[in-house]
Amino acid sequence: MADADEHSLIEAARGGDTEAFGVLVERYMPRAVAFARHMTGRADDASDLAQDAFVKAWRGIGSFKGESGFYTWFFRVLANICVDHLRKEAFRKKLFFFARDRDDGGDETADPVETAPDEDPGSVPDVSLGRKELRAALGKAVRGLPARQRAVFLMKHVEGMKITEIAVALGISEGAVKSHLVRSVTALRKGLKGYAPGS
Amino acid sequence: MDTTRHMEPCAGYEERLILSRYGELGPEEEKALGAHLSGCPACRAYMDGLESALVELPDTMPGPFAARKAVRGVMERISDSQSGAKARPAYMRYLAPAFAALALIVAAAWVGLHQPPAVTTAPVAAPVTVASGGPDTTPATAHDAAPANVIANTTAHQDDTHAAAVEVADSIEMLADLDLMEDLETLDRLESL
Repeated sequence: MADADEHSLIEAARGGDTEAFGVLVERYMPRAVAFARHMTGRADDASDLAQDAFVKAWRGIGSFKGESGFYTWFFRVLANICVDHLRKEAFRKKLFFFARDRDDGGDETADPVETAPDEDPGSVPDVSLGRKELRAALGKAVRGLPARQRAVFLMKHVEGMKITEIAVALGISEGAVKSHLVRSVTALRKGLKGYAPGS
Repeated sequence: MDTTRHMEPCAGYEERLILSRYGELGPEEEKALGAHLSGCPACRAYMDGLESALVELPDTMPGPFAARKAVRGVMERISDSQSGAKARPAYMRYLAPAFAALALIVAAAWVGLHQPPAVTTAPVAAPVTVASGGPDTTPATAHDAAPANVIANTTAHQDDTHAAAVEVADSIEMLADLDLMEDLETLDRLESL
């Protein structure tokens, strides 16, 4: 069943076949966790959010009409869960402003931008280090974007989704997606303004 | 790869350049932009800067073990929901502690309302002796002395209750004189004063 095409898996899942849905979960779980981790910046939250999204997707699979790809449809669930999570986190931070921020060192060692492997281990060290630093700086800048802009940027930049797909996934207009994308890129460009690799 | 080159693009071109970077311009728009770029160093520099800055983000894919664990977690939750085991709502985890705390508060309030004045060994506790009225009178015991203790402790806290305490003690003496001290029930009632 692992090799079955997506359409037949979805049809089976819609009929209540948990095994078929399990194949979809296995297929998309790594991407879902990676996206959630980019969104939240935390590995533990990312796994929980991805699981929540799949469980929610299972409950709502009956409403999936197949007009878009499964992943696009699923992304709507996942992105909204991530955005909700970030809103709650922002509220929590405001409420408990005196508490130590989890992002300020709580998971520092597990930060993906810190642990990112070199792009090409065989390349010239200076160039490789510069690229790694740039990736880290970009990752950090992305986490500084507002939730909706972050979601749009990640869907476009990481997932390579089309603007029309992002609009469907987030339930917003294509114009709004373009606007979020342009704003996010402009903000990232400003955030990286002082960055000069190797300097 | 120097992203410090931040020449500003021509007015109205930033959005087109960004959308072009992500392949979101139509063929006509792309053609027009290409023509503009060929004659505009500022927009070309901006485009180069975008290409340099927008590198791949760090890889955040989970490892195989973490991914399998997450998949297993999903399938277990689905299985639980199918078997009728409803997930406990989030607020349920706070219900038991909240109920316990409420019960403690109520209990503490009840005890506070019904507790007699605190019994301490007050320094002003003058011994009140119950007069023994002869061989027929019940001998003074610790039980008999209890009202005196209560009275003494009360006087230690409030002067105005002192007079009342003395009055009760006098009553006890008077009752003893009347040979009514044998009536323990009467004594108990007096203690409760």
